Amino acid sequence: MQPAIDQPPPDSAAAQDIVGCLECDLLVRVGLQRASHAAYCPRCGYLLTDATDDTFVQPFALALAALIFAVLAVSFPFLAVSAAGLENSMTLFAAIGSLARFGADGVAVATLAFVLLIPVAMMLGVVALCLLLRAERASPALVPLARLLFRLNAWSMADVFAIGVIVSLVKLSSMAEIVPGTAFWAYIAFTVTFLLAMTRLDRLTVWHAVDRLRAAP
Amino acid sequence: MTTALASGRAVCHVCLHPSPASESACRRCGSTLHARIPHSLQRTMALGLGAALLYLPANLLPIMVTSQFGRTTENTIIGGVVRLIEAGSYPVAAVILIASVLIPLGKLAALALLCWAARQRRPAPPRQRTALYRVTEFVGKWSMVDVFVVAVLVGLVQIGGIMQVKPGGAALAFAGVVVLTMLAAESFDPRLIWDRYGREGARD
Repeated sequence: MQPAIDQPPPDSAAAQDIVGCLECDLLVRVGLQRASHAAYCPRCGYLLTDATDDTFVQPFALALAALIFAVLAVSFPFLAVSAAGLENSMTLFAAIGSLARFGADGVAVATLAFVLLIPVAMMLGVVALCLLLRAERASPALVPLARLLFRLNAWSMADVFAIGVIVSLVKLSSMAEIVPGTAFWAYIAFTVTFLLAMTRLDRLTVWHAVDRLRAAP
Repeated sequence: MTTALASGRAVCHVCLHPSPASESACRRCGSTLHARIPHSLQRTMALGLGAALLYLPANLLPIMVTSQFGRTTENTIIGGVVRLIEAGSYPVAAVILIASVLIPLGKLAALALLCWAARQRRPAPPRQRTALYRVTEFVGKWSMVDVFVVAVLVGLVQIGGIMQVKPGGAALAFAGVVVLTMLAAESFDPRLIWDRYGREGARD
């Protein structure tokens, strides 16, 4: 538990270790410099910071791995189905394309965005952000990049899609023979590395690093 | 203990920095600043109402149309669950039932309860309501499972004249339900849960 503070913070930007709880509005002092453990709001228990290490090596490596898996996941056959001697294999894009072909354009766009575009854009963002922070460059792209990244987080559904694929496999297994392709395993690996990258990237650690870079001459 | 609001601050919803409440953008990251989400309860209820209305076509229309050896069957969400139970796939039936029926309805009920309680003079303890809010926010996107199942089946099951799956009108309606409930949860400001608690100095 972190100490709640009794005094309103001074106006100076130096009071950077005071944050507001997003879920109950309490002002809390979070000593990020020496934090080695997660910090929760003392009143409502909201996770304020994960206190991951501030070298940004882990999220960078995980996001890079996720991007490689994403490339594999869209380049190879995702699933193959065979029934009555006929076979059909599909890629991820082809599956989304057939939604559009049957007039479900809205569903196709939503699937493309939630399952591929948003998660991949986020991983590109993590790679770029970590590179900028590691290079200690106060780039003008830093703040918009970090903002976009943390706002998109709620709208990535890679994990939901992975479960959806597994449900589909079970549904079909009684009717036809299903063979998971390379892209299937790549997408599962993408989901795992994506989730790990996002949990290893701590919001307050990022903003603290951004502050430091901007304060430096 | 002091809240940001009580000391004239507004907490940034992106970077948690408490900027002076009179300013319009966060001092650290430049995001739009507001001490509380404007018209939070109205927005949440309006989006929730929209989701509830869309939930009707989502359940009445077929979510997918299957043709097998020239025979065409239309499946609703509930119909799909019944078929899975008949086929003995209980775990998958449970996943779809929870994701497509229990989560969306539970979420709408929870948001209605949270909006109602935020206006009561003596609402339930804030910690309990915060827990309800967190569950509501966490489970939201998982309702999308059934839509993605349709996406996979439509893409995969196109085998000549033998077997074909087409998307039904409920798929879009249901995706709309999920997106609207997610927006509704995002519009609800959990700080409203604690506002009266602080003012009356009560303890839980």
